[in-house]
Amino acid sequence: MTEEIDDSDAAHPIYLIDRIVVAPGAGEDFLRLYRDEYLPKAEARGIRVATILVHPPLWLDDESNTITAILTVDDVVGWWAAARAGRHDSALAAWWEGVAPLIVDRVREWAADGTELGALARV
Amino acid sequence: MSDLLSTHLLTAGRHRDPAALAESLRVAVGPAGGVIGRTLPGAINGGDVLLHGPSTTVDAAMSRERFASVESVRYRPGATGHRGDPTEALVYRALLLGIGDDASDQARCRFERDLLLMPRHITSMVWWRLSHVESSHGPTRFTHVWEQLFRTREALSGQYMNHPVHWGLVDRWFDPEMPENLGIARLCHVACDFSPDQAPALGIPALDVPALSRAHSIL
Repeated sequence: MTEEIDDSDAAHPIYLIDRIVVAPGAGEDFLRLYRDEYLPKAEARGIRVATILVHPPLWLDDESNTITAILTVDDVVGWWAAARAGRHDSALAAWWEGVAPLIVDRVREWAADGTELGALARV
Repeated sequence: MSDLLSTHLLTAGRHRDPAALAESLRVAVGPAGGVIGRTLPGAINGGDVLLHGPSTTVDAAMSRERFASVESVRYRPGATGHRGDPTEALVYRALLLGIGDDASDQARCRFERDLLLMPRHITSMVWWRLSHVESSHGPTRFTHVWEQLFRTREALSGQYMNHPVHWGLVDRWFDPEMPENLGIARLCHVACDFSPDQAPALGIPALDVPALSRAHSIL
């Protein structure tokens, strides 16, 4: 016998994944700017850091590192709060333009725990 | 070629009652001539009154009215589809947006494809249409009109906004922080109440309601 869990009232965190391929030798500089300048403004919008990973796990001088930052908001309400605040802050896009010389390629994705997709879609 | 359609977002101004403006337009256009209504709360750049329908009908009605300002688009109907009986809907919603000149054709196509995925997941959306704008009037050069009918007001503010297909897939094209954003600097998000007698103005024929939804390619 199976029991269906009613998790309709539970919070379902949403994850923001920034995957940045930095210019050769620029990894430390980019990560410092990301931590010191970008993340405080993100946190003010309710976006928190889950972890920041660096591949390969040593700073390279002549090749690119890939930095993967996993950030999170509490739920879809938090997602909209962060999104609305961001749309009215032209400084955010300007920040990315400012660090563009340190970046070779960048991907940003919103994602969720694979076990929670059904709950997220029940809206 | 399909008939030209118009959507006008009118701001009544200090000396005109929006309800009276909407009613005057409703009388001028006739019961089946257009979708006309007061802008529902929550609009973005939506004005006071929404007026939509065949250009030949609604443009003439608007030209006889007094109001402070208007933002308009003209377009021919694009990809459309429906689920169940669209005349059961209670809310008409339109999104006017202008893609930046720097966006690639490939990105435009992917954006349109993503928009047209929404009805598959958002079950409260009972009719939809994505069209390319031929001309616009106002501060923004619009390129697309994304129209929908919803069963209820709550469906628009709830399921449509909160479904993962919206925030997890489609929104990236609007977000200036996303590398793939389309340079959409300004948009109009507007909705009004809808009644079955307005269905012909959306090209929804009476008593022609297949059980399954259908969609046609815009490209």
